[in-house]
Amino acid sequence: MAAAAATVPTRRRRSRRPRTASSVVAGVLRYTALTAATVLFLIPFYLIVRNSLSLDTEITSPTWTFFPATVHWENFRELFTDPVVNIIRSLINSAVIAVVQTAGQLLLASMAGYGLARIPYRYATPIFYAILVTLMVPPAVTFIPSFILVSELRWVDTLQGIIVPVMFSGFTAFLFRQYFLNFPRELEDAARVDGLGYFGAYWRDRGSQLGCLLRSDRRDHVHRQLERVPVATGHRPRPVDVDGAGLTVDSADCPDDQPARAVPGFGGDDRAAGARVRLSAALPRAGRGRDRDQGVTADPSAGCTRSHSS
Amino acid sequence: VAAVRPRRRQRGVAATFWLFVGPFVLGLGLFVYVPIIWSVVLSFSRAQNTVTPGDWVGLQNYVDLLKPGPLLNSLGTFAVFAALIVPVTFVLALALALILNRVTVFRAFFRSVFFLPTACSYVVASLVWKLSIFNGVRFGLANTVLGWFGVENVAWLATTTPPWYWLVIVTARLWLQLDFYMILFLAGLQRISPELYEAAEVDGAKKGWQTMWNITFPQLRSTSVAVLLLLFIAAHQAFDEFFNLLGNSSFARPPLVYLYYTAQGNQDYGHGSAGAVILALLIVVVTLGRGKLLGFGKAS
Repeated sequence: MAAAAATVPTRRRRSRRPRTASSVVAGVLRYTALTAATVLFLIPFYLIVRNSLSLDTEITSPTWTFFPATVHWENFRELFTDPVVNIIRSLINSAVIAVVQTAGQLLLASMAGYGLARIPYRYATPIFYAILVTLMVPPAVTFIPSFILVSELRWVDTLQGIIVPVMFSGFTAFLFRQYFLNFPRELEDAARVDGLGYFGAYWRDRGSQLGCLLRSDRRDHVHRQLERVPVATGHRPRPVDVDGAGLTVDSADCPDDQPARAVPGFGGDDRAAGARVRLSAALPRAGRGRDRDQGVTADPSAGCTRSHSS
Repeated sequence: VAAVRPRRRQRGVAATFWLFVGPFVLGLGLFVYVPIIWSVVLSFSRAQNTVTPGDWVGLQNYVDLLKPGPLLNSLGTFAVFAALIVPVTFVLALALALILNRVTVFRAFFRSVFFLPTACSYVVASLVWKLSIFNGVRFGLANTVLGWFGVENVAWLATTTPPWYWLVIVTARLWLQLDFYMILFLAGLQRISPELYEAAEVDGAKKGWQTMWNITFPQLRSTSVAVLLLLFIAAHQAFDEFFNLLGNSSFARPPLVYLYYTAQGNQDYGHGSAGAVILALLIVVVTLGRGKLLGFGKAS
């Protein structure tokens, strides 16, 4: 175990402990608990597989069969040829809904989030609050009138009837707004000076975000993304700080000019460092001036160090 | 010229703003705001088999619902459900995260195993639970295993004394949601600075319980609060497993299932909308009160 631990580098440096009897016992206990939990968690999957390969009589037999004596693959064939259950169509529907809905939601919400965070329009804050209010309303409140609305549009029993109403997610727009608020403004201002319009800046910002998400430490890919799940709120009285990359659940506490406080270490730091690296890489002259001013510590080991050569 | 330029720029800013935000706001207005307002208006009318408001009854729908009856019962069901699922998920997710955080070998494997149920839907899980695990007759897994020890068949979903259906419902949801909260805790654990542990060691804190109690748990405070709140809201909106496992049973019907049967089953949209408004207000109260109750967002 010690040898394996040495070959699997952990992110955190731990002090080397001598292997005492109690640490061995603790390790054994840990793995026993994990194995037990694993077995319990896999039981439903085992049942799904077992049932799918059995005959009805085998499933309902009072004597438990752990696995069918003869494997009935034809269950699957029958599923695909059953005239009543058009499963191919269902799978296509799912795929279309998932892809179109996600893409539409991302596009609409990221544009709205960018506009709310970055364009100094007089009524941006009231509009943002109007979007926030919708987060508090549970879907149960709206499902009857939504149905009526969809039927008025003659969209009942169509794909767009499922896809379009869900595309306008206040939560997604809110997340994007928080993201763009925490995106280092200097970088964008520099881009504007270089002649990029709002759209150009929006596109670059978005691109870098995706790059960060995709390139951030691959070992912990899912985990890192989930670190960006919003979990806390608070105030940060200072102006925008590149270290602040936290998101908030409820930014009613968080007026427009005060970005959400980063939950320390919840995402953020690495991304900010990456952005700093970009800053100096993309802007050779101005960037160096900034480096001196802020004492930039570009840590190349931090998550997103993509340098963006334009 | 100097006076014209700012105004023109302001107009340009407005145009750009609406170019970005306009499509979203338009859709949000049509597909979210119109239904919300419609629902509120409808809650003040008698709307049996119709969704056109007009037969005004004032607050009668609300009065009907707040009398002792099915809506209050459903809130009681929610309270019991939350009292079961919230602590169980919280403790198990924290324990698993603590263990996984200390494990180096097969770590990715264990994480994948706990992640797998996330890919399952509540409908699939409910089917497996109802048909194959907690089936009331001998061919269910639970009764089979109990049978080896000579225990009689238990009618898991059909008996209220004792209320075994809670075991079925809580385990189904636990299986589906545990991973998400475990990952939140793992993220919280990994952001605790190692210097804190080193400092504790220098100060003579013993490894294990003492360190955990004085460093790990205080550092997990904000994560814990968030997990509790998310668990609570998720329990409030529970629908699928109750709907699929118990249907319209009178003994365990959470608020959303009750509303569903009122509105879709009885076509009583007036009462349905009034109930929905009450639930929305409850959520708002909880959300606004959470700052005081849980210290959410307090400077640490």
